[in-house]
Amino acid sequence: MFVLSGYEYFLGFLLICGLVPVLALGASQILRPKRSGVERRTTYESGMEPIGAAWIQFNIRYYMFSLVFVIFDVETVFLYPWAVAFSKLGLLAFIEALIFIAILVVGLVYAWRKGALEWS
Amino acid sequence: MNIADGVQVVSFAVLALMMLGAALGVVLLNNIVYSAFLLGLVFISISGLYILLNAGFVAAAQVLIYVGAVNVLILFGIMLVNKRQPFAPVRSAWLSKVATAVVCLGIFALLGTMVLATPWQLSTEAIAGDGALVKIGLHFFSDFLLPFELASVLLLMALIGAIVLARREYLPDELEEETVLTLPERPRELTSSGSRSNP
Amino acid sequence: MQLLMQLQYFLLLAAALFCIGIYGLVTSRNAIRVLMSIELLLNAVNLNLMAFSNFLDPAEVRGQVFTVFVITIAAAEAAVGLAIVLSIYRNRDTVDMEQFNLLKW
Repeated sequence: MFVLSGYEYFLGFLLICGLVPVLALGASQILRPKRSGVERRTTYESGMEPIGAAWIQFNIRYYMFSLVFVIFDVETVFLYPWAVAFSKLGLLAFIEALIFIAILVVGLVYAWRKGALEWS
Repeated sequence: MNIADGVQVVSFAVLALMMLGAALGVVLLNNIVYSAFLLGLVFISISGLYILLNAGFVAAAQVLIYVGAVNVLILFGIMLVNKRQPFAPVRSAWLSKVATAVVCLGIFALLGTMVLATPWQLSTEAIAGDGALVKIGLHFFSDFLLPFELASVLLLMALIGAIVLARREYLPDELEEETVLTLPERPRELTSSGSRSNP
Repeated sequence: MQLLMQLQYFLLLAAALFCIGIYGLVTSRNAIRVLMSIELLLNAVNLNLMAFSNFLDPAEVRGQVFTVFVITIAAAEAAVGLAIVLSIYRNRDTVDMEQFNLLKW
């Protein structure tokens, strides 16, 4: 049994959103001139000549940033129900949530001191 | 069957087919970048199934963590080790694949038989629905308090461990770039660092 | 049997996803694809937990709480697992699982 409310609008929104790229690409498929050549197959880089391939080895700093992001993303998921149920929970829950945050702040300080947050 | 049930069944069928097809693509495609994007599709389909199971918050968490963070992390990992080399062929690789497929089908048959044979005692209580979020918050601070605090310790360990493991080539890189940074565009830093670097 | 949302549909779907994940886990040569298969396995387990939460324990949604914890562990596993893969890649210059045989005899 489905009891959530408001998801019929979500479904309609999803269907319309799914139609937009299909219609846009389909219409341009019909309207555009059909020529082919070497120039057309190159990567579009805002008018610049593309240098190298698209699949290059990334810098490891991207990984560092996304790593810190993952950890604090998960923290958000834990803190959101606490914020919603805050009025039903007491002072003790507030202290427990502060402990939770404090443990993760230790990790943030470590990442900061080790330079994982700096692009440099 | 009224129209709401029909929409649910159709949504379930579409999501299930999308999920199974994308999951097969994840394990069977040769190009691992396509596999990673299909993995995102699997996560999104599962999020839709969670909505069908009356769990809006967990569906949002699924999109937020899996699609927004874990999938991006996996894509960065792929881009970091992106060395498109064909692996050296192994003797009778097809045999192990066929054997694994047979075993997996066997596990599926076993699980399916068990699922269909078990008399599930369905609950007739009222479904929490939108109130589930508050219930989850109350659970976190009553009977799931210890796992809640341990989760933060686990996340701390994962953060520190992953930084320590991934950082090794990062450190000399950083030192190298510090020497580059002594020639910046800004004149004040140039004079100060220049006087420091002179013997 | 009525064609409504049933517990068995979700359980069968999760079982199928779990088997696909096991197939990928065993047959993959690329270490990152092995990690992706583990994510599939964890998602199959999550789907089971959510189905049980909705059909067997709808008032106290303990299955959803469990799912949040499993998602946490999956995120930590992905972070550390990818760091291990990067570390191995630096040392061995490959991500082929068949080459990681230092502990094998």
